[in-house]
Amino acid sequence: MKPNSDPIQRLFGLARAARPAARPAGLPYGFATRVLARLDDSLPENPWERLALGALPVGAAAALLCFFFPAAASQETRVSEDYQVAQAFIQTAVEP
Amino acid sequence: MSDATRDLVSAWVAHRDQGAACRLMEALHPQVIRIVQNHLPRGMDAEDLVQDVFVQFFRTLDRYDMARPLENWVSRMALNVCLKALRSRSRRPEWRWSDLSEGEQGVVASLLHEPETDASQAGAGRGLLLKLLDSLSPQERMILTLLHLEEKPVAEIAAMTGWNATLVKVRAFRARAKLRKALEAAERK
Repeated sequence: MKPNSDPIQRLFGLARAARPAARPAGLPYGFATRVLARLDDSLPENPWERLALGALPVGAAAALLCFFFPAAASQETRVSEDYQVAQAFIQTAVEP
Repeated sequence: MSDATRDLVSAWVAHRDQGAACRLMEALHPQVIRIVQNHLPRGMDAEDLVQDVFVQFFRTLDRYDMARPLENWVSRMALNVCLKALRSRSRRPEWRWSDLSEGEQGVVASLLHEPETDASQAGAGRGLLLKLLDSLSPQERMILTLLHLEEKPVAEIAAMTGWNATLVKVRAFRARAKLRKALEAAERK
């Protein structure tokens, strides 16, 4: 068989001949426990619970809007009331 | 997929059965560790990456289509985890002559200036190859490892990576050219 002259193919041939030592069969000690622990820390099992957690930021934003919007509206109302009172006073003072 | 494996997958998806998860891990661990060891970035621990693969596997198992082979799905997931780890490295090293061991220097000289290589240089050859692969992009490194180190057919690589066969061949061609330049550059520096 004609030897391969391509240095890259020869390099890969050498590397294949020196495969790393086989690892022992079976899972490493405690491996499954560590994986399952990481899974427990991540997503909740109940899909409704997942939905509730996902909707939490949206609900919080809506609650904040509900709080600030009436507050801004009532402040505007107070300003207009103050203005009316001032106008009434001015007109009362001017009129004989 | 065997009926037993199908039952294990169903048990996890439906009830988060931890016993089923353990048996799935035992069945798939040899395949995953082999892929991770072949594509492991230098300096990274294989077990950390294997854990990452299985955590992602169980998190997304409810999206798995049972009509497709589970081994292909797992292989693709393992490769993507390794690709992500390779991309997270900030710098790709460039190897100088002085960075190589004496054995690796001998392999370089033998490859570039002699018609044949000695089988006794296999260990040094593997060390040299892994260093040179480090200088390629993650995708280039992966494709050469799958095609030439693991000797997988192009069709199987296409199925594992999601690339079409033509793309696999083109990327492999370009990656081999870069590897050759890295080999020649290692002798010059």
